[in-house]
Amino acid sequence: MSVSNLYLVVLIWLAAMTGAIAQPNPIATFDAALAAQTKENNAAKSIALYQELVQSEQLSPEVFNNLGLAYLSNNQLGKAIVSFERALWLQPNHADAQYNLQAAQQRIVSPIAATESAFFVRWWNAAIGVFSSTSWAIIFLLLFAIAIGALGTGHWLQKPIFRAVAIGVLLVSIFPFVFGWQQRAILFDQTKAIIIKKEVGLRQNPQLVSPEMELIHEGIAVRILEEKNTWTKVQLPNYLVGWIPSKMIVRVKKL
Amino acid sequence: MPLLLKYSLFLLLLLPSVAWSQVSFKAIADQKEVAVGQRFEVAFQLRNAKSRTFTPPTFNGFQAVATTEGYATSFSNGKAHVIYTITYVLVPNRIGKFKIGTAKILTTEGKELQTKSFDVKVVSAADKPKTSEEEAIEGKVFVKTEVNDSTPIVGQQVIVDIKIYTQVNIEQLEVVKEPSFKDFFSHQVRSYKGPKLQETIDGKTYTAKVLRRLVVFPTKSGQLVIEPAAVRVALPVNGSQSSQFNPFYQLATHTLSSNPINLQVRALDGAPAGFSGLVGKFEMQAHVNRNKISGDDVFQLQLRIQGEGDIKQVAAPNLGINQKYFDQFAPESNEQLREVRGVLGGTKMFDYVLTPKAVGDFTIQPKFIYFDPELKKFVKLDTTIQLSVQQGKNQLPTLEEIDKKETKVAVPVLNEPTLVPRTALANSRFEGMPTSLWGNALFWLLMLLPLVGLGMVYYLKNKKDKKAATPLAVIRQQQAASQAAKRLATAKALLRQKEAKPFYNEISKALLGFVGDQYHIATIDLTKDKVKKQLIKQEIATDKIDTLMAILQKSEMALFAGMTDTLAMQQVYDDSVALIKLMEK
Repeated sequence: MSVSNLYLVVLIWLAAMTGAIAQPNPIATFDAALAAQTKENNAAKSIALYQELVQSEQLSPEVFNNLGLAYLSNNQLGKAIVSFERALWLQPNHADAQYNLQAAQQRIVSPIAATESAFFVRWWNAAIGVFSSTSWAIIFLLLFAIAIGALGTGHWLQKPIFRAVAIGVLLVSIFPFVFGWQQRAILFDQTKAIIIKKEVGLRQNPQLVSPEMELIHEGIAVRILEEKNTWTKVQLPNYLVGWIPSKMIVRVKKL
Repeated sequence: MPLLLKYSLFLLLLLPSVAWSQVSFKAIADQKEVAVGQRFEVAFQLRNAKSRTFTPPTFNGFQAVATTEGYATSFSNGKAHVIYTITYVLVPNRIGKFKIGTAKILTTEGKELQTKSFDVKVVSAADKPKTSEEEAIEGKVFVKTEVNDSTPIVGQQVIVDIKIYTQVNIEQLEVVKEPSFKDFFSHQVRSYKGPKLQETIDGKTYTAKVLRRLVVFPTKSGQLVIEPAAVRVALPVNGSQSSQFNPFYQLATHTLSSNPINLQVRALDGAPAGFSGLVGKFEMQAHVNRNKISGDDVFQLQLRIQGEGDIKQVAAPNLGINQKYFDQFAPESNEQLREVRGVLGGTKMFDYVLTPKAVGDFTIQPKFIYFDPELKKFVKLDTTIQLSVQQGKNQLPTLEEIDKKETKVAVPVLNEPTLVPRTALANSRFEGMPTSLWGNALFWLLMLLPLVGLGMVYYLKNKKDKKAATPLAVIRQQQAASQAAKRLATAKALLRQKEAKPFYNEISKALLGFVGDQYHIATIDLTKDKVKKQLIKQEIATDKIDTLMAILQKSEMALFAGMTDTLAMQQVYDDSVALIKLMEK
């Protein structure tokens, strides 16, 4: 190794070190936030620390779960629900986040019950939820490889049975393919948002002079349909559609 | 107030003209002795000044039932004189002697004036001797209050006519006080002008005329009293004839009281559900802007109720719509009261805006129930309107979905335990934003990989199959050139080493081999003569055959003669290469 090479390596190592110094250890920040939350009972401080982690994309279901709890004790129901939803975004089967989300949703002033979908839609959605998008993708790729392998073997050996197997497996692989695709759509769904203000008037038009049709309360989940300047057109779980100021909502899957 | 003016003028003629220019304030009672219940008037007159504030006196023992005020202006000696009069109509309540106190007035010039107090004696009606004037008109003029129905129903329109009956000529006529209506809603029918009628009462013929028509609507059941009305009439004294040329023509004024009326107001029994409480005669019309709208639109429904009765009291009829399917706001209403044929009626319009909450077909039945006093029964007005809501941009649920949801909500979620949030979690593993393999470049690459493999399998298999299927002759032909090239390469090596014999041997082998492969000539036939025959048979160009034969001949000769001329060898080699190239095509 020449001298110049050594010099380069030292430079790279220094750069890496400074980077590490600029970004504090996430575990330390997490522990500080946890201490503020559980020992000092300082919800505002813990929120600030957890937010720091979120800002630097040091994410985990635990961070969001704890952040949600901090918001809850700080009487910020809407943001608490957003945080629990985000915890479940990272890990849909996180038991604590599921439970805490339910507990938070109980506190919504006048919750709007969503209309239940038809049974096959529910079954389909339940099937999608079994694996993550990546897992479905791997399952699909395996099945696809098996099917193609069978097709190749069949062709080489001139045995039609292999082709039948291949077509069967290929047909089966459509399901993980579609499931994965849908899971991915859910994972990056930008339309889900939560009301974060105590009371919001749902208006017919994106104007303050427009009459309020419905009063919606903090914590209610809405679907974003359209955005215009500082207004957002949303759909409530009961299909009611109207405009609200954009700052009244927070998107769940957009940090 | 022409009556007062005339009356005052008459009095003033007797007064010295000095009094005219002075400011004065006086109380004048038309009677000093009255019977219980008999009306009389006390007038307060201010002359030649304007009033700023007037303080009425105390009327102990009397009930003031009416007040009027007015100005009168007259001219004398080229000067205008103003008289301001406030008149109280009083009714004595009990027997005795009662004092009417002093009234005070403050003029606009700041002068305070007051009247002298005076006594009024109240006697029982029997004791009260009838004045000559009263005797004079007794039985000749009287006022009566008449109603069209003395046993109405609550809310029914009752016509109250104040009617005058007279046998003498009445010069002046004024309704001083209308009957007072407590527990009634009343309305004066101004458009009604009653005709003069001839009526006979107790054998006497009177001229009768309705002075004023009022309609009232009793607001509660039970016995209700319509109190008397007061009418002031001016009659010619002693039957003198009205004439401009009669210097003895005099008028005397009298205040006539009508009879009180007792109404037995009945409550309605057995009112059906949805009864509007209205009594009369009504019609209803409904208009809707469109029968079919999209879910983004609204229905505008107008209900028009018209008829005779207390139209102001008409409340918005129930549309009979389900709140699940429509948002309904309080309708806007406007009313027009009309006097038709001497009774009160009108039109009231209600404008409803219905915002659909669901998609589907709906029937709405506006309903209006009233009581018809003539038919003596409840009348139900209803109409059916078919509405249809189509799906619009708002994506409304269908009727069925709403119904289903409703039944779900109807089951109360009881005893759901209130969840207490769990404590914060202590450990965390950090990761970045969620990612998905699905749809990544890697995903598509991994999907492509087996396909590439499959393609390769197909290619190899195909190649293998082709090889198995091709005839040997074809393969030999395909490989002819390369085989020849190999031989030629050997020949070239021999040429370099100047090994003449093997060289020529190799050349002839290469040429014959090539020709054999190329033109499918069996190995057994690969002799010079047989090859020539075959080639001629195959109609190969003669120059090619000749060249080939020439080279073969040369080689044969060289082998036989043992020639070692390098140049010749080189020549043979070049010719062979050129020939193979030529034949290959």
